[in-house]
This record gives sequence, structure tokens and C-alpha cells, in this order.
Amino acid sequence: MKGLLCKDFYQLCNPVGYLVPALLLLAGVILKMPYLLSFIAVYLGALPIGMLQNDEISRWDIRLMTMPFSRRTIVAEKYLFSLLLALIAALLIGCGVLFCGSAVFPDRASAAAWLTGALMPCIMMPVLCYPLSFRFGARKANMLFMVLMILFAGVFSASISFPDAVFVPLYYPIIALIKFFPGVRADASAVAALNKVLELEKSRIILYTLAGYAILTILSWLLANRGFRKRSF
Amino acid sequence: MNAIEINNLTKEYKGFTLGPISLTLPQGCILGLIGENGAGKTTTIKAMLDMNRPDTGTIRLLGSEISAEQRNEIGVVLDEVGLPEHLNAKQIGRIMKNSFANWQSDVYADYLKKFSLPDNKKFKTFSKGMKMKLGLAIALSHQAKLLILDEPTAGLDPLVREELLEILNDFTRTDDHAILISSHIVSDLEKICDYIAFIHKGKMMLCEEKDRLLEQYGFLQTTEENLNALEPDAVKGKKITKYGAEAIVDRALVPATFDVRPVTIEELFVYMAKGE
Repeated sequence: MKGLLCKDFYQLCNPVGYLVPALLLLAGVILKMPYLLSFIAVYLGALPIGMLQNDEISRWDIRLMTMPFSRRTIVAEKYLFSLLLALIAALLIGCGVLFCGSAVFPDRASAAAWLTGALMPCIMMPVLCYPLSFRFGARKANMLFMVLMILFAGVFSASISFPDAVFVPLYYPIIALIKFFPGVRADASAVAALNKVLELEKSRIILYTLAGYAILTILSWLLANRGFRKRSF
Repeated sequence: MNAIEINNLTKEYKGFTLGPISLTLPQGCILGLIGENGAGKTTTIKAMLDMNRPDTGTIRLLGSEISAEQRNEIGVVLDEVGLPEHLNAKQIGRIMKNSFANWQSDVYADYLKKFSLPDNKKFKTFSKGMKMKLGLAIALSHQAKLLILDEPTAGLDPLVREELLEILNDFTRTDDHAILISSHIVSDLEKICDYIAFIHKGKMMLCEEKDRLLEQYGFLQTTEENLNALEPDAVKGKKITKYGAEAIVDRALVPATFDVRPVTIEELFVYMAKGE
């Protein structure tokens, strides 16, 4: 796995790789705009997915199959790499949050909770993309992912505009999950349930979010392994 | 122990069936896998490396089924070398050092020097010949016992091809080394191979020692009537033109009165494939 990590970090080490997060950090701190800091997570979340595509274009994915790595190791390395990028994102965004200070975040707990949420793209993008990429190839997976995101965005926007529409039940699993949180009434509406969650102690929100990330990452990893086992080159 | 043992390998795709393929490569030998474009050479190689799952058949490399650890002893160069374009040879060497258990950095450096490959230029700036040489340098730098090369000389100029073939010949001077090289440039294979296997439209036409093939078969130019007078089993492939008939024949089944000249592997393959 060392060789694979070595290759991924070599590819990361180029001027654009440093410049984009650095500029976002600087802009976020100077302008006191935390949402600019969150783009660091978006960038570092999209990076490994872009690298998978590059691997396909350069045929590195085929060369990998001739090297002494099992398919399991190849999958595990990608998740480990994404996790390391998430830690880098947490470090950079955390520094940005510290520099933003109390002008933006009233207390440390709020800052920490915000940071946990801001890391979502960095965690979720690989978690969602990897199983598709390992099963169908990165390019096909990216197309599929974009189609799913467009569909999701369309349904989400329509459900806000037309709350009584027939596709609202698509959100029932998410609403049901939110209603598991202590203090949220079972018959509460989705918005009320979400508001109730946000009223919880910040440490609980952080804990639940990190647990959610961990569970989704494990599920994604299992799916990716299964998909990659079936893949032919 | 044989370097490669394939028994009844089959793989079915939409519109194409590979197999059944059976071949054996003893250690210390070079096997040339010859076939036209789309014959199934690369599919066979990929099946050997567990890149696709065959429908039936067994494959053993260096005495055992392919595994991740075993690839430490197998050097592979596919038709596309497949290295990250923004990395240079030095960085690639470090990646390989951390990947292969028996990586020899000094041997790699020697090959870079021998092939005149710059170690600080990006891979994307390399010519096709340079890329192939780098692929070969990697394959030869981790104490591999088996080299599997898929079209390594395609697109290379004659000087580079000659250089590559010399290196491959040197590789098998060690008794337990073996090479499987696939190509449709038959003249290259004829120079160095001990065994020849023909694949045509997914079917294995033959797998034999090269010298035996050249002894057994000959090239006959005669009239169509004379050719038809021969035993059917004697003629392995033929071409009838308005000037006469040309055929690949089994020397043992052809009367001595016929003037049978030596045949080249290329002629053997072309005529056998046409005869199918």
C-alpha cells in the first residue's frame, strides 16, 4: 500500500494542489467568510475522484493489476488516501476557523460543530463515488454520479416548492433517521425535526455526525470491495 | 516447474469467444504468442494476470495460481505502459520500490542509464520507444522470473526493437527465467522465441517448438492440380492464384518429388489462418 500512497501523494504535490486550498484559506480568513473555507473540503473531496479518472486515462488502473497488490488493498488505499485528505482539510479549515475567531463563531463548540459539517463534502464525495468507480470505472461513475445529483437536486427543489407532491415520500427515510434523535417528536415535520436536532448540544451533533460518516464510509468500503471484485479489465 | 500452464481456458464475450486455449511454457524458454489484431492475445494475457475472470479453465504461473504476492516475481509490460503522466522516472522508481518486495534500485538506475532515459523528465514527454523502455526497465528491476510482454515492439523503430530483443534474450540465459511475448510482428518473435503459439479468431491453432515447426512444415509452389493430388492432411493452408498454387505443407506427407522450400513463421501463420 505504501507504493500506492506514494503515487497519490506525488500526484498531489503540484502547484495547483497547493495553491487552491491556500487561496481558499486566505480568502476565508481575510474576508471572514467561513463558507469559503468549506470549499477546501469540496476541493479535497473531489480531488481523489479526479485522480481516479486520471488513472484510467493514463491506464495506471490496468498497470495496478500487474503489481503485487490485491484488489482489496487497492480499494483500501483509496479510502485511506481520502481519509488523509479529510484530515488535511480539517487541519486547514480548523486553522481558518481559529483565525476567523469569535467574529464568526460565538463559541468553540459552534466552531467545532460547523467544522464537522463543513467536512461533509470531503467525506461524502468519495463515499458516494468510490463504489460506483470501482464497479463501473471512474468515467462512467462520474457520469452516473452527476445524473444522480441532478435528479436529487431537482427532486429536492421541487419538494420545497411543492411540499405536498407525490415524491415527498423519498425523504421519509431521512426524516425517520432524524426523528430517532432524542427529543424529536415522532410526529414532527421534517423542518421541525431538523430544528430540534440543531438545538442539541454541539458535542452530540459532532458525535452523531462523525458516527454517521464512519458508518457510511464502512458501508461504502464494503460495496466498493464487492464491486471491484466483479470488475474486468 | 513450468513458468506458465494454461488448460482449457475459455472466455466468452458478446460476439467473440476465446478458447479453449491450452499452452505450456517451460522455464528458461521464450514463447511467442502470435495472432492478428483482435485474435485474443491480450485477453489471454489478462486472464493470466487475473484481470478478467475466465469462464472455464485453469491457469498456473510459476507453479501456482496467480496471487498478489506472486506478482512480485512477474514482470509485465502491456501495450500501454500505464504510468502516471506527471511523474518522472525517479518518482516512478520510488513508487515501485515501495510496491515490489524485491525491488533493486541500482538495477533500475542502470537500466535508465543503459536506455538513456532521463530521470527528471515527466513521463508524458517520453516518446513511445522511451515509454516502452521504461516499462521494461521496471519489469526487469524486481527480480522477476517470468516476463509477460504484450506487443512490446509495436510502434518502435528497428534499432529500438533490436535492442529490446537482445535484452529479452539475455534475460532467459538464467535457467529459471521465462518470457511470454505476444505480437503480430512475427519477424521479431522468430528471432528469439523457442516456442510459438498461434491464436486466430480466439482459437489456438497450434503451440509448438519453433524449430520443430520449421522442420515439419515447408512452403510449396506448384499447380492447383498437383496440390489437389496431395493428401488433404498434408496441406495446412493454401492460396490459389491465376499463376498457380502456394501452400504450407507437412513435409512428411509430401512426396520427395515436390520442391518444398523452408518456411518462415510468418508464412506459416498467414497460410494457416487463411486456411481456417
